[in-house]
Amino acid sequence: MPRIDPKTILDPALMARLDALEVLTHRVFRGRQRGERRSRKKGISVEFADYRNYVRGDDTRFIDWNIFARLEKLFIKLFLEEEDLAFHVIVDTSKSMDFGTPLTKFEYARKLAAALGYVALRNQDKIGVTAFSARGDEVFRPARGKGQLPKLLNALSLLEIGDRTSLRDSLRDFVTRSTQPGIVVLISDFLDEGGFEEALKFFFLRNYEVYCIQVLSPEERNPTDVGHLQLIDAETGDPQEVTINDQLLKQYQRTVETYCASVRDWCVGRGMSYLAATTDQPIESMLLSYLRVKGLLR
Amino acid sequence: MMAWFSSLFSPFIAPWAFALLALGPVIVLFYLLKLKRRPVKVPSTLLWRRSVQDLVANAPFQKLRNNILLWLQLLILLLLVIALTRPIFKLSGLKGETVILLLDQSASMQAKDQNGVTRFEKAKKLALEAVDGMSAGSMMGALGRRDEMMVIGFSNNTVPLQPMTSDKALLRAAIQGAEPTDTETDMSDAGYILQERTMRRVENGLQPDPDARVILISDGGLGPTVSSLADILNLDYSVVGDSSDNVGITGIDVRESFGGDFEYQLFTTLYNASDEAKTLMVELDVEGEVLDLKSVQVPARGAQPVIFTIGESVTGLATVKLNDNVDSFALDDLARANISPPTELKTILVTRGNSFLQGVLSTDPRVNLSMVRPGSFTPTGDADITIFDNNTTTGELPPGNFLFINALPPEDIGFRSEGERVQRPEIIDWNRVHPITRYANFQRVLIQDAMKLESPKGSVALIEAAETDLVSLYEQETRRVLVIGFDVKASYWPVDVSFPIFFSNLIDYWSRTGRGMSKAAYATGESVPIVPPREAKSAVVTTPAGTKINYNLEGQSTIYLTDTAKAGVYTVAFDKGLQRQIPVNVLSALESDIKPVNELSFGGRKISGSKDSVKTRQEVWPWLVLAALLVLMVEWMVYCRRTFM
Repeated sequence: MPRIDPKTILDPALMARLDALEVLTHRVFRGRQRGERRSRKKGISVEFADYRNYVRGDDTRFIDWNIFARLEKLFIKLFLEEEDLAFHVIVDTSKSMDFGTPLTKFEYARKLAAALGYVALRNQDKIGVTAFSARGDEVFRPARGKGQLPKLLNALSLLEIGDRTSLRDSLRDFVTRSTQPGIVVLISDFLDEGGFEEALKFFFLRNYEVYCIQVLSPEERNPTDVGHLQLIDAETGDPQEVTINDQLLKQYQRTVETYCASVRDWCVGRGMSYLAATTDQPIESMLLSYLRVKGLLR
Repeated sequence: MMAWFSSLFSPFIAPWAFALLALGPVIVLFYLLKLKRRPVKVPSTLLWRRSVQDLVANAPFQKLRNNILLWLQLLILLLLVIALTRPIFKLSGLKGETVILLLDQSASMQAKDQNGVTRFEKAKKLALEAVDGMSAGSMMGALGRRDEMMVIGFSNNTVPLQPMTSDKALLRAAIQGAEPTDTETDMSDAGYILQERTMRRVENGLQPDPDARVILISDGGLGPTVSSLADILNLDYSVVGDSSDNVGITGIDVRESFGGDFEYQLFTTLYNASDEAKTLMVELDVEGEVLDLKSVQVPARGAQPVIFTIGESVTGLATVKLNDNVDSFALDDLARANISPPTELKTILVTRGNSFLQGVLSTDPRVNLSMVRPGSFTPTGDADITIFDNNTTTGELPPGNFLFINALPPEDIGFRSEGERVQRPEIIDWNRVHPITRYANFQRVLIQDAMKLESPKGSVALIEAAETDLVSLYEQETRRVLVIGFDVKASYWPVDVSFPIFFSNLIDYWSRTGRGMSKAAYATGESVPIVPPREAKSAVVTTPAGTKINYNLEGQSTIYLTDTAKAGVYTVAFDKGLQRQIPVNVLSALESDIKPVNELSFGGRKISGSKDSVKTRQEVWPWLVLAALLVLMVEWMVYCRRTFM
């Protein structure tokens, strides 16, 4: 795949609208640096968390003198410490993603990753992008700050469709490498010979807040090709001979629905968020409405 | 080797078609050259595979599916190939089958069953089916020879309708042209023909040939002569008919009454073949005028006599009808008999005195008796009956009827008597059907002695003793001579009841022959003797069907009408303008009993008939083609339902 211009990945108009958004987390994660996120740790911030008895050695600046005046006991005011948020975007670059109109699933996933990355960087969150290949490469090491945006876009523009990939292996590698908990957005078509369940279970090893975005092309959801065909699997190259008629088309559509529903049910049942997308769906509406509804963005 | 090869394919008329099985590999080849498919790259075949698996899981015979089209197509090919070989159900030997088809043409075959079709029509249909089932030989000729068939029709006599042939057209024409007769069944002649055709010559005579096949199509009323089929091993019996609903007239006769007043008695016998008693009206009319009507109850499967008494002045053709009798067999619902006008017979009794004879003759109203002393008498020919009692005459006898008692007629007639008289001859037999001796029982007649009588050739022995004929009838062209070989006065005969019956019969017989007929009515198939008037030179007989038969009467005293297969009135017209009517009726209890016999039994064998069907060698190729068509439809359906290969 030829390298594309990084500037075309994110539309300026879209960026303007994304400015109003921020990544929202439902859990409190422990960050490595003091950031703009609430932390479970009590620390220095403006947000009051609790009181505790004064013990020797405590910083006397945090004694609540009003309480002492009323109760004649020393209490220390505790404040929530704010930390940075680790935000991981995992993009499926397997060959099965190289399909779809008007955008391929891969292009759609890349744009989505860029947009999410923009939102995160803009809110001083740490974002990392991982390509989803046999090696589970990290294409953009976690970084924060708006200044990282060109780097991020450049990294995304360098992304290519990989060789044969395995969802399970890729996620295992990711989990092994990325030990900081945070939000994980997985953008994939979930069409994997090895099944998705075993792969997604790796997320349980870390305390991630997981968003699964299943991207399918309209052709995959409602194919129109009929007749005697030899279907060639893009990833494995295995041929499958079928004679497609109305009956099989209907059965296929049922199978697709059933499959998507099984992914959704599995995710939701295990505390993950699931979102289905088709490549003909505008990125803006995905970000501005669906992901908002799901609570990833605010 | 060749014979083994031939026998392998003998059940097939066209075994060459097996060569077309070579098309099988072609079908397999088509399967090897799979359907050309358009390659399409898809992200993943995962969901397609699942869809197809789901479809397959819901389809029946999924395990067979992989190859079911192939197998179906091979099955179609096999069926079509077998159809082309034209297999036959009943396997036959290499030499082809020889079939003798026996077609019952007797009167009862005209009975109509529930569907309104006569049994004979049904039988013809079955016979035609049998012809259709014949093998016509193979196209290659070398394997399997053609079947042959002959068609024999039987009723009171046996007629080969079509000699042995394999030409189906000839056989069909013969069967279609066959007509039923009105006569009784007699299979004896058929038995001879069958024996000749179905026996194999072995060293010491004949032996049944298991290969020869006989198909008998009948309603089963075959009578005792069915035993002539006993030697047929391979007999297929097809029974036609289902009704037994019939009452028919099985006997009719007219007798002058013995009473003081001259009158006739008309006897009829009714037979009921059904399983329930029937009451019906019997009507008698003479020359179209109804004379009497009687209600008669006929017991189930039994007979009932009916007697009508008719006055002296009534003469002509009498018809007895069963009124309002709706049954399956109409032919026996009507019978006719002649009531002849009474004629006086001029009778001369040449005797020295015989009060018994005198008595029995003078009481008969038909007899105009005059007595003559022997010695001085010479017959002149003006008497109808001349009786010589213990005396004879010399010279040529004039035309007429002569009775010689205990005396021989002139030598030229041909009766001889040599040696001693037979002492106390014992009567061992008498002719029970002859008009002169019927209705009489001579068992108790004791005779002192009798001549040892030698009758001329052509004479009929009416009463026989162990050693000699006692009463013998010889009929020449114009003379009828009866000889009684003993003296009636020296016997108990005159005091036996058979004595007046005998003389009454004799006078009846001679009075009828004087009128040209010996019986009041005839049964179909019986030969009718016609004595023409002396001056007649030719005669034309018109049958009920309208056919005319010409007879030349020159030098003939009696002509015999033998073609009486159809019931009805036969008209004899002589050249002098004289006419006689001869009524011919079915008169057969065997035929009137139309109940179909489903199982023939003879000679210890039982043969059950196949109802309304004839076992033939059926060609099955139309069924095979039909089966192939059905399989083709199934194949198409499977193809249409099928979504993968």
